[in-house]
Amino acid sequence: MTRRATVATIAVLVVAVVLVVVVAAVGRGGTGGSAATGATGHPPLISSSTTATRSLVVLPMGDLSDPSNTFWELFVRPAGATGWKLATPPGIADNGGLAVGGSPAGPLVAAFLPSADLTFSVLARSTDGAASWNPDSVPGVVADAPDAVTTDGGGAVHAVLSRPRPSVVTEQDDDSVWTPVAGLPAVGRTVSGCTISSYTAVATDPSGVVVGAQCTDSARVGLLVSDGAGGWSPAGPVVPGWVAGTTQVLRLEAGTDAVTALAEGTSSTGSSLVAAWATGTPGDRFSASPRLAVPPGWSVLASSTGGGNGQAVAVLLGTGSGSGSGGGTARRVVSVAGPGAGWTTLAAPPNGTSAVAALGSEVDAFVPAGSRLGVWSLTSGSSAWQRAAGLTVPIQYGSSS
Amino acid sequence: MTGMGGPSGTGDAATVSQFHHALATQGALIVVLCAVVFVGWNQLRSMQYRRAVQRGESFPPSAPVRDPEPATRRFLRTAFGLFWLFDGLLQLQSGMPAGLPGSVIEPSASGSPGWVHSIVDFASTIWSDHPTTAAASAVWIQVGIGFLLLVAPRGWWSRGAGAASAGWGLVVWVFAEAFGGIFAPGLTILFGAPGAVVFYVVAGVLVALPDSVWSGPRMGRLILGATGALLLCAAALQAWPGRGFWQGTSAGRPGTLAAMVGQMAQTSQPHPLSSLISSFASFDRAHGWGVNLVAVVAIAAVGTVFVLASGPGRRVLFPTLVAFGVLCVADWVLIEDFGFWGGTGTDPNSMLPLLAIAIAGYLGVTRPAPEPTPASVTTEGAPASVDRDAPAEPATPGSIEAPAPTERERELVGTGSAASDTPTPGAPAPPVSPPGPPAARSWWERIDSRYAARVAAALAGIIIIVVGAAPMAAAAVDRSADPSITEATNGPPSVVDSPAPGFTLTDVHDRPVSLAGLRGHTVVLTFLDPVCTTDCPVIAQELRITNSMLGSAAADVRFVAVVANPVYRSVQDMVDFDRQEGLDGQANWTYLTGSAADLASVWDAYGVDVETAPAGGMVQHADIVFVIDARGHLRRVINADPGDADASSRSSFSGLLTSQVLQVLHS
Repeated sequence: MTRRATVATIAVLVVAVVLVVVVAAVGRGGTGGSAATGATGHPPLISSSTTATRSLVVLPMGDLSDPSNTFWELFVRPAGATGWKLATPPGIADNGGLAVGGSPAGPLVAAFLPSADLTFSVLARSTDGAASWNPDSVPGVVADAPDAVTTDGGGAVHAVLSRPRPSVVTEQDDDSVWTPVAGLPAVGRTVSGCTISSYTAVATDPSGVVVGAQCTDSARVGLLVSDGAGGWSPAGPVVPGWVAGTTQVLRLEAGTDAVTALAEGTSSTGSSLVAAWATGTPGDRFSASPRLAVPPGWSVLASSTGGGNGQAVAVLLGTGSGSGSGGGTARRVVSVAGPGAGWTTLAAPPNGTSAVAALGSEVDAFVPAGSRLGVWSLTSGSSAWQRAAGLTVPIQYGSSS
Repeated sequence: MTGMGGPSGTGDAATVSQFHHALATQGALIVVLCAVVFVGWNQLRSMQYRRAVQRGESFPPSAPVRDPEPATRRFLRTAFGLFWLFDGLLQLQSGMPAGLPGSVIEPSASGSPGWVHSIVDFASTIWSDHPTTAAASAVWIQVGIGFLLLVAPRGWWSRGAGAASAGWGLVVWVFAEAFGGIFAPGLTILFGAPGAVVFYVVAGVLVALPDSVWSGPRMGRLILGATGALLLCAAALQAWPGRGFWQGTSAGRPGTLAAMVGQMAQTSQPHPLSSLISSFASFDRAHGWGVNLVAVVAIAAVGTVFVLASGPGRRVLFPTLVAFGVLCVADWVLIEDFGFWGGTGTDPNSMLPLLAIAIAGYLGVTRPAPEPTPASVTTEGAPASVDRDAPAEPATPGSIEAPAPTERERELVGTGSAASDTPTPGAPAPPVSPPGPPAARSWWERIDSRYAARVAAALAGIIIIVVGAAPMAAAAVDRSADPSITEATNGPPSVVDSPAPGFTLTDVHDRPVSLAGLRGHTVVLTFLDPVCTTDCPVIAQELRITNSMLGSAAADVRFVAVVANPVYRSVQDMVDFDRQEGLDGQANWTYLTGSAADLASVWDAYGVDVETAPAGGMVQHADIVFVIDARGHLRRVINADPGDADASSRSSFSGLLTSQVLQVLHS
């Protein structure tokens, strides 16, 4: 072999080795890291609320692994009735989510969140306790939160919008004319240490509109109350022990006598919940419950307001994903009765529980399985859940694909 | 992996029928054009024969002496000509039109960077938009290249065939094989890396080289050396830890090689073969370390011998080549599973082409072409026609002297003199020509008929390629998908002629709009749910695209949609929908609503069922588009179900609707 051929051969081998190293390095890193699952950034939509006249619960059913076959259903139980009935407003696919609200003295309003190729929200209003619905429009996309829409005693509708821009709007006379709530601080502004990153809830009390927000770099619950004249003041308490982080109002419901809120604070030290109440008297501020630490690996799956004496708050905590993901995920129900009370842990709910509803003297747990819904009850003082009912829901599989 | 077909059943009957029709049509065109070429060649031959008879010469004359084609080149040309022919025939599979993008093209880019996906998506879109055109073109292009490689005469024709092979191979390697997966993790020569068709490119480049490069063993050494270097790289990659090849199983799951082989066993193929592949997969799961060790050692050993082929490797070159052949065949059967099963297999994968390259290198080393002789026949271009009028050239030093022609040969070749005095027995008596200087030969007399036959065959090959390439090129620049895609799924439009039911509804400005008021325009009428989440937005976009496709003709067309939702039917709902679909700025677009009763009567009149569904279901209604002419007559009823609603189906529907609207406009 000539010297020239030897040099050429060595050169080829060197290049080959370099190529191999490069390709192997690319290949070793090719599997990719697992996608980090972060917080959704918005309150869990699964929710229930109880007033003097009715209880309602909103939860997803169908094939929960397929967004086009997941349908959000509304169930209503009038006061004094023994069972729940399907009351989902018709006329539109609700694969994107459903938020239902309404003051005790006002109509119900349901907001449909967009899904697939639909990019705007529509509403439905009911004045007969969800027996029938009338369509309504809203100028944008309703925020992804359970208390993003509500009504007041005069029939006006208030809605928290995420698009075209974060705002709170009001429709006074069911005439599809919407106006922004006057004077509400814009997202990005700081009010009493709360830098508003989004609005998450709206309710009404005798003094006016109450708005819940997500605050960054804060230990204060982001609640703003209007004075009816375009002025807004912070009403949320600074929670003792909360380290400045992100706080978010998960629920905001107006009861007969008070407005009830549920908020979560998240910081580097962990996450915790507080309930808060205000009587609605002008100038009154929210008072907070003791903090409830959320164990690492656990999250809020669902919430309920208005049970017990009308001011109770119940929370379904769970590990893994929510929405009845089945065996292998733990569930826990905690509740607080009202101002001055502490958190209590109820008996472990049935496997697959995805929603809870705190009623007068009982708590109902909802276990969806495809188009079947199991309802379990835990009466006051009891330590065991009893199966109360099973409903079959005509899920329209395949209709949205 | 490239060449490994996907699941069968990827073609619907209508698409397959259109594919076969396209093949038959193009095949008929090829036959006609080839017949013209044949007639031309035959005419030339007849004229030459008649002139030879007139001159008293034999026909055909003796073949000119020329250097033989280098063995390496002949082998490459023949092997890859056959490969291309086989690949072209594989493209005839019924699953190709509808199945190739999803089963072959897109999976080839799996794991590759985004820019590779962009390139592959470009090709996939062209194929998806024009499935029958692309599939038929692939057949003819590859059959044509194969045929051209096999029959093209020496010189520029043959070199051009090599260039065509390299060019088309490069297109396939980039756009359909995602560069052979070299940018994706898990690269291994056992599965076909760096892509089967890259060897077609290499062979094509080699065939395209001038004959002079084949003189001596240098080119053979180069081919073997490059092949050896490739094998050494492959061996190193195969041995690299952490890539899953050393483990038969890992955490209870099959290792990389066993998993791939197990997947190949699931491909639709004869049962004995799938059993064999499954058995090998099981064997590898149990002995993964040993299998990989054998593979690494064998590939590295062969690569080393090939690299050293010009030196110490020469002595063991042949047995090494045999061993490499065994290795290639074993891999081709047990791991690559022949490469062409499943209904969308495009080629027999990489092992056979790689082996062919290695054999070519061996031939180049062991049977190099001699140095070219300055013979009377050139080797670049057409052989010099036997100039029967020119005096014989004196022999040059070092040239191969042709033996002195015998009298018989002189007679056959002719010296320009008059017919010989001694007539050949049995030969027709030459006519008596007056004495004088010999008549000059026309240009067509100087063409060697055997060479002309090869040229005619090469022209036939080019015709086949062009008949395939032209429609493919047109499809590549056509941004709209073939309407046949929609017809294949939804059926053809219904042609009718009856008065369209009239109606008066309200537009987004609360103004009454009647169908009668639109007389004088062609109306495209449909029914859309303003809060629909799936079909209606797609149909709206298809109507928007149709409006663009109509161009200036759109001025005579009105697109009218009627609300198809008994609940959400307000003006605000229509306004929101128009804004969502970008239709609020389209001048010839009108969305209409009315009372529940008025809407129901229009739905009934046009046979559109609208039903509200419970439990959060969408309102169900038929997806239909009607085309009404300027007189108010219903002329077309078109199924507008978007189906998968991918870009191809949308574009295809828009193209179909555009053609129907234009027909009605001009009728």
